[in-house]
Amino acid sequence: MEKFKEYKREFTDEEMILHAWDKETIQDLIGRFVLYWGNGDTVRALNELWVKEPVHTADASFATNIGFFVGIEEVRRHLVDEYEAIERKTLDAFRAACPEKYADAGLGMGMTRTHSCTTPLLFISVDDRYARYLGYDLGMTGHGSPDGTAKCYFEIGLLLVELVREADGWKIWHVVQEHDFSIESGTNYNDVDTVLKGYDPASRFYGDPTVKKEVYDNQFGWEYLFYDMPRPFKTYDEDEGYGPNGKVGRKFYERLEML
Amino acid sequence: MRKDKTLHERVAAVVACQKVEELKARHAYLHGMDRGREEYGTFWLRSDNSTFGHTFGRMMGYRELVPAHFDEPLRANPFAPPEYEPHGMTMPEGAENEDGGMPFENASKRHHDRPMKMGDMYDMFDLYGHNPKGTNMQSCHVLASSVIEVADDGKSARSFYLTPGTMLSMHGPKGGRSGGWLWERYGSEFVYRNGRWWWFHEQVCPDIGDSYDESNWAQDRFRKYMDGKLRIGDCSGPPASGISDLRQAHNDISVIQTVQDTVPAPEPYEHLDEEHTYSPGCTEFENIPLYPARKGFGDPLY
Repeated sequence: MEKFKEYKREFTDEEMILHAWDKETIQDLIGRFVLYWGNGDTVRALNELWVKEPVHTADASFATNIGFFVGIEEVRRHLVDEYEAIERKTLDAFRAACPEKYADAGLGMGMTRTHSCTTPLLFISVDDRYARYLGYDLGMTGHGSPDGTAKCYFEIGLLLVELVREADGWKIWHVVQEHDFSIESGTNYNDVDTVLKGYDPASRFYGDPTVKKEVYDNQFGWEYLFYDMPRPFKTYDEDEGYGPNGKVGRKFYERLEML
Repeated sequence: MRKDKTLHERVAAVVACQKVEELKARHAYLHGMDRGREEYGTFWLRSDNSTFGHTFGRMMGYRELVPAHFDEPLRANPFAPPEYEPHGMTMPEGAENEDGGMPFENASKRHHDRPMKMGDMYDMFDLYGHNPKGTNMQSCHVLASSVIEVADDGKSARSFYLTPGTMLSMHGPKGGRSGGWLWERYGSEFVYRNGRWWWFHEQVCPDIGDSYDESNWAQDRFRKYMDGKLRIGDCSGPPASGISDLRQAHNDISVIQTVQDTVPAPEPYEHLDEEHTYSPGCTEFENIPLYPARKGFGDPLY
């Protein structure tokens, strides 16, 4: 048998086993993240799955369509605090409408969501220290009101993740959630307003990012995905990465490869 | 299946499985971005035995596969036909409608108060500089339920996937949004040659596809079939660039058939042969010539 060749280098059997093991570990990690995220268990996700070493937490980031939350506490503000604020407002509305019925209800009353990671594309750097992942998030959200109405959507978008190997294993470092479409339950999709009226129900989850910039314009869709999707790489390069100073969100005139 | 595999052979099989997953994902995204050049020009085996099958038959060899999938007017492409055909297939059912296109687009109502197509909007928005590839649409062939087998000889791999896929457009052909489901099954084969894995055969099998909400994807099509307005297999046709194997490979998008197991999940096998392939007559991949990598029809980006 020939020796393994990948990224123009040769691997021993043992190295290739570790490489394959790392790939499975990372996919497992991303799977846990989207599961915890959908379950509303974002505190656990941050504590167990995200970076801990100061050199990484300083610029850990989570990006939505409108900007980057930079630093692990800012990520926490978005993933935990901002969503909790929506949950609390919803719960308060239920309690105000019917105090006795909802006196014992907890946070999350009237709200539901799911995230998933499908179609994974994953590369680990040649130096085995970093990884880049692309998945497609087929999810949903539901938001009820005390009057008995509810707004529910299929929420569909891309998920770009950059990971780093810390002392206790692989950790999530940078995430970009590029929201594509919301398909409203009970509404004819063809009748939904186009970009002319700025219809984007998921914008309520975009939050108030640390660095405001247009990261992803779903009007133009996958225009930049070819340039941002993971491909074999040697090591971390901030300019090429998925962090706040990386390439995701740049316009064509800021990308040498497109000029 | 051989039980006496060495550690190296077992590791190689695991790595091959991961490579299949990687190539399938790369295809899903590149195809969704309409980047056939970057897909077929980089990780397909450039041989006369490479095939791409759909409902309408098989594109036989790289010469038929390339012009049908490279979505650029590659006049320099030695295989390109005189009449450039931008799509991998034609849509006979769509031709009955004023706008053509995918079945879910045909079902859409026309909105006269909105721009009809993205092209009509160029006067309204300054789109200069935006790359039209991938713009205005998401075409996601989500991958699920994989079954992957690597040959005992380690030189080929076969996979089965289902895709509960979805396709959407912010600005559909009739002025509103358009979107629909496209559920398919895939039979794919990969070979190891010259030190790397290549895509060798693909058989696409559409099962259902229609609008999210503008039509009843089951009943509407069922009635068309029952009324004789649509024949099984009429939903898509071969690319205008032409193919030489027009056998009906998979009857598409109908609820009046039994489940079509056109690409059964692969069983353990020794090597790629006529008993173990999704593309009969095209299993030889080692002792055949390959087209050179740089002839104006693809860039080895990886």
